[in-house]
Amino acid sequence: MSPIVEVSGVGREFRKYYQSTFKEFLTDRHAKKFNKIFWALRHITFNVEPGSTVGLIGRNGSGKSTLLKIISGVLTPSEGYVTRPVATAALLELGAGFQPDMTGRENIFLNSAILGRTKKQTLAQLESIIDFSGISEFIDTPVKFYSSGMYARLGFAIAIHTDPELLLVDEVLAVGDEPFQKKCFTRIKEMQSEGRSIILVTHSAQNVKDFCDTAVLLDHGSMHSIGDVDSVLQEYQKLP
Amino acid sequence: MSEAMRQIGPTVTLVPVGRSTGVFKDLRDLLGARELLLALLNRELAGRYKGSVLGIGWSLVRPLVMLFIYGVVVGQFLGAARSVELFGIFIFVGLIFWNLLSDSISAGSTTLTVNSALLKKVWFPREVLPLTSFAVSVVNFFFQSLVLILGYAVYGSWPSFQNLLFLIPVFLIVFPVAFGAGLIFSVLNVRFRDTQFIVEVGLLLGFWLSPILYPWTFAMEFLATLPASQFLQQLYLANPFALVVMAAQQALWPPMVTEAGLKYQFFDSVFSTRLWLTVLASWIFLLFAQRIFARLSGSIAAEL
Repeated sequence: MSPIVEVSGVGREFRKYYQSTFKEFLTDRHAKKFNKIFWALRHITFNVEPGSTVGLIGRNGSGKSTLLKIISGVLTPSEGYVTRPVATAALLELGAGFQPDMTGRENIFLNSAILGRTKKQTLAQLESIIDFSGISEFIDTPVKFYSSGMYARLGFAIAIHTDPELLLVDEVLAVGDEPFQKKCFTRIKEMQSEGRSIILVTHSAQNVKDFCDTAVLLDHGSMHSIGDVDSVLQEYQKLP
Repeated sequence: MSEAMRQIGPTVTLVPVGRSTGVFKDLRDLLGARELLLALLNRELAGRYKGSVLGIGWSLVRPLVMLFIYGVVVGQFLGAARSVELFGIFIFVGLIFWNLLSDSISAGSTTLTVNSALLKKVWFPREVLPLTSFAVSVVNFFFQSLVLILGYAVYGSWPSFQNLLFLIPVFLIVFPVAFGAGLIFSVLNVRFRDTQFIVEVGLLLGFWLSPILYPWTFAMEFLATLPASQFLQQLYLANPFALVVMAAQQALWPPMVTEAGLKYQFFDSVFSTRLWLTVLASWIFLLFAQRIFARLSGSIAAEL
């Protein structure tokens, strides 16, 4: 079967210094710091098979989140390419794009539209979204009055109702209390059994063991190892 | 088993900046984001006036105050109304088209920086944001047009149907200029925060260099007294904002068809050519703007 996600030779460079005014642009044009670039990520190649879950692990600054952003499309690669399903839901930040003055219900429609859903599709799932979020009591309250937990719950509920073929999860599950986390994990398991593919960024070895079929270990922006979960986790322990 | 049953839907290939796959693909993406445009438009309109008593009525307050101030100060104090019939209608026509252009350009130029939280976390066709700024201006323009119609009823004077056809080239210029400028300035503003201030100053200049509060012939007469008058007159008329305002007055200012308005008519074969050339240039500009936007927008999430 052909892979559902193809990451091929992907690299991303950043400038160490970005000018932000014309003055700096004009005066620092030839300054050395201006031209200094570094590769946050280089030569990343791996595939995700349909229905499988891949864990991205690595220390802080290893490029995990950058890679996830590139796969989601928020950042473009500097080299290489990524092929992924159009129907991708990225849980990079729950409730990104919520409008504080609008109610929870209104934000469901706005956020779903941002994630590529039509109004009709959202309407069909409205009850299910509200139900999953567990805040039906406050659904007609402006979200600026929400606690951060409520915010995250609504954001998660919206994202998982977008019928994604691919789900990108970036440690967002660290927010919320334990019952909510449990609920999220149960839902992720469900999505796995529905044959959806998942890429999961995490620090937790336990999460990798629980969810992933394959793990990719990133170290200083390059691929250290890839393979079955246990052997890659061992490599991770061995990192200096 | 369930895995085998799942159909794999359409895929997208993400490539480095500058190697994007072209204007048609981007256009398709943008058309696919119609629902998003409507949702963002709703956010802008409903969100902005939420909790205010007048609601969307506030979008009328500013143009009406402008109409009052300019009508009294420029029209009466400075005496411009003495030489222009139906001066109130005259400046209001210019103002609403000016607002349509300037509101969408000034809101468009900050739209990427304002929505940075969204851009850093969610992928969607970025062109939607400047397009939303334009759509908001169109909605405001619609309400302002209702006031204009009210004005016609009050004065009992209506524009001729034939002249309304001038609105076709007007909108064919307004859309690409406003959307194109929004695209370029928004993406430049991410890198150079000076852009929004330069745009502000530019719009201020554009306002007074367009014949909104005075008939264009006044400017021509003055420029004729200067050295290189021909060149300066041509330069004045090369301003697409000025052309939009002039053609809108041709279409919507009732006295244009009477003897009193005759001297302000701008429509002859040369002007007609100029107008349609500007239409063409505007669409080329939009194409050019989209290419710049596509090239620069790939790195905005890193720069915001």
